[in-house]
Amino acid sequence: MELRTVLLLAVIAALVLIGSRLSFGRRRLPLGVRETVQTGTAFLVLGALLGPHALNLVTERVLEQLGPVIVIGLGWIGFLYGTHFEWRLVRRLPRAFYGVGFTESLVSLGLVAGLGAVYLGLVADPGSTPDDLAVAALVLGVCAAGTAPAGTYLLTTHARLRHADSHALQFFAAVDDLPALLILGFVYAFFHPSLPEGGQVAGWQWALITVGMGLLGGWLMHLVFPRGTDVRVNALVLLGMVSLGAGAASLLRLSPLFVSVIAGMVFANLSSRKESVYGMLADREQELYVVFLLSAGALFRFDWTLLLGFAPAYIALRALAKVGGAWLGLRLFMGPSPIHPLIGSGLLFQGGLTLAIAVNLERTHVSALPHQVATIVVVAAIINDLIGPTIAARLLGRRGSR
Amino acid sequence: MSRLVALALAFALVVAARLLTVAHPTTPGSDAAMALGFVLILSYFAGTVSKRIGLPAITGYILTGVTFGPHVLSHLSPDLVVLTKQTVRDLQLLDSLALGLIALTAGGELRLAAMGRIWRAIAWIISAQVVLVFCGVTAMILAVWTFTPLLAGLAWPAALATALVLAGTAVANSPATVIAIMEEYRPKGPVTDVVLAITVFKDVVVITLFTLVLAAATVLLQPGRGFDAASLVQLAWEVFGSLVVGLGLGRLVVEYLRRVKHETPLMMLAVAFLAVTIASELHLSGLLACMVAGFYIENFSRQGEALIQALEHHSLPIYVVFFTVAGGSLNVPALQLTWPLALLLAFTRLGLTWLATRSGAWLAGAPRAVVTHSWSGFIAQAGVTLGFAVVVGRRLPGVGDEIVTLILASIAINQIIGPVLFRLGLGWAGEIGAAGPEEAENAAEPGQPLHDADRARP
Repeated sequence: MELRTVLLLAVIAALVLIGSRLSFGRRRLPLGVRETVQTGTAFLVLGALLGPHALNLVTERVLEQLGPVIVIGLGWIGFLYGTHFEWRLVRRLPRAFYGVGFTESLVSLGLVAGLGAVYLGLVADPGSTPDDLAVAALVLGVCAAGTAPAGTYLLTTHARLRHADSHALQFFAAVDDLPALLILGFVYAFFHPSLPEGGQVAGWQWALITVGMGLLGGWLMHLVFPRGTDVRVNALVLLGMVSLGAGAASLLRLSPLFVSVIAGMVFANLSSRKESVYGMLADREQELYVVFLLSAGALFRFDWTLLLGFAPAYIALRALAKVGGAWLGLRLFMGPSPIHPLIGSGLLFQGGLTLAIAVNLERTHVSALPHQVATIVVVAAIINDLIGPTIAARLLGRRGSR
Repeated sequence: MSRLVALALAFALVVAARLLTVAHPTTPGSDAAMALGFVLILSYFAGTVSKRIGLPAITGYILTGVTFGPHVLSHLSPDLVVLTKQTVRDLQLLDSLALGLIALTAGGELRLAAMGRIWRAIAWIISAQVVLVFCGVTAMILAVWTFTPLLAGLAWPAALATALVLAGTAVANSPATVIAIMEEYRPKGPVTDVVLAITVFKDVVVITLFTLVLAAATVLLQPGRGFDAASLVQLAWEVFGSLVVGLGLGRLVVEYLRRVKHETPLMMLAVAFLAVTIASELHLSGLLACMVAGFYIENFSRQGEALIQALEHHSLPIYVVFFTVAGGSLNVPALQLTWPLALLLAFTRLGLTWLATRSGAWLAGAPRAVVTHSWSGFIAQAGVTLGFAVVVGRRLPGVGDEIVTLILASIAINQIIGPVLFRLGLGWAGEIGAAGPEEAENAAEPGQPLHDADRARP
């Protein structure tokens, strides 16, 4: 038996044991560790350890074979996010909340993309084009803009924040990915690397194609979605449509996330079955999500310059941008309000969508920059899960939390 | 009508995306994900249509794979092919995973208590199939060898080697098809029990037979080399190693189900992935390991129910992926090239399987339904035989190509007629719907949960 197989067996057995004890045991875990385990970030760490740049148990070949699953995972995450935006519900919520959420998102995006451009410009190898650099910096910014709702939800449950703060955090975490995702879609369209043979497709045309694919995907889903109640059949059709849309977008080097978000939005606004679809998406997400987290973790590289130099700067700047952006948003859109001015400190968690964006970039672009982006995002996601709850509990807990 | 329009639009999207594909490298697996999405939806609807005309749903999946695979629509335009050869290769991991999960189900459906009543039939039928199908196919190939353009150029030892290898692969049948048909129609009765048990146990026999035949063929083709004793060691390693790995994984799952009880479908995926990976690394049979794991969980723990429920969580996409990819992998050009001999081989095998199963069941004193109808469960061939073909192509230089072509052509025929025959056989035996009136009426898709009563322990 090869050493690799023995190691694999040992790791899996250990994972089962430790995972079961931590996740389902009665022992109360410290704040931060609890979030890391319950949001699945532990799988990121595991992926990093098993990946080609550490133990190499999950080899490059395995990652390549997981390619279709990763693309489907991107589509699934995007579609699930898009189904939240049903116009009937969206318009009921106060506009000021959107203003705050979008402001903190855009401030984070802008500041981190700016810092990223400077850093990546310094370390980029001579083969990198200005377009490569711009895409990597913008994607880094996009990754910084979003918040993982699962992490925020756990924070509001475990840290016992005030009702107004809890409510605001969950809302901001749900919407702050949206402007970032829109920008991501257009980054992929306007920085499209090539043209099909014999044709001329401009950036705006790629943008139209991206949006068109999303609209078509959502409409097709509405048409083919079975009217029966058999969950398995419905899940199969859902899986098929999500794979089709994400695969087509990815094949064209457009963003499968963006296309799937739009498809999800269209479906949520056309179909009367959106509730059952949403439940199904969430229910079946687990398997895809774990594979996804393991794959994202496997992209992690032990680049010490990056880890000791830029990664802490990225985490710190993002935290400042989140806190500052939310504060600015509150000032601009809400004036005096019961919401804590440092509410942005509860928006540090980075989860599925952020990792999906980094994975998408790493899998699509061949230069060294995407590896750096992926490594930074993975390490930031882990550290933010570990320290985010403590910071938020201390800052937000001053006013009313137990 | 709106669904037809949607499917046409989805097809147009696939074709348009391929036409617009840029020269730069893209995310690995993108094309496979897109193709998979399209065929999942289409296969599902084809399966529904197939059921409406009285055929098994998997026939619809297979025909979708054949139609949108590399060999049929390419005659109109290569751009219309959805499952290209590269796509099928990219989906190999999912395909192996699906086979692993199907094998876990096969092992998990087999109950020792039920086998106690039929062990004589199992032993007699397997023996009769091995002797009659193996000898009969060998004799048939040797009888026609000089008259067929494909084999006429072979010398006597090479022809004998070819006959032995073809006969060895003819004994195998498809566990995946048996399980899929059983999940679709929920049959209950002696034919069901016998076919399932034989399918699982024959896997060991078939691996042994194939290894011995391959060793003999190597000696015949390279007379100076002598019998390769290492192949026997390899055989022992493959069989016992797979048993050990299967038992180990089974134990792991039992402990997980007993202690954790959460995310069981995810655990099943991990186990199937682990089995496939370990088997591939250690040159073991992933199919056998998964069957043993499933069998262990069902019969040596109290977790059998949880296992089957967890597997059912994934089952519909598994069957659709597996059989659609199987359809896409069917070698239509090989069939076009060798159809007379392939037809002769397929129908000789069918006739001999019928004779062997009847004789074996009769000698064992099995119930009349088993004697008359159980042969129908052993006609389909898919993954296992396909795996043998790959090994033959690699290990027998000189005659490998001819044999592989014939095996692939024969699989194409058997995989299309096999599921239909098994469904008919179960119907003739009166076992469809015997599990309960609800199942009889609403057998629906393979992969729906079994009736509680059907899962009750004896």
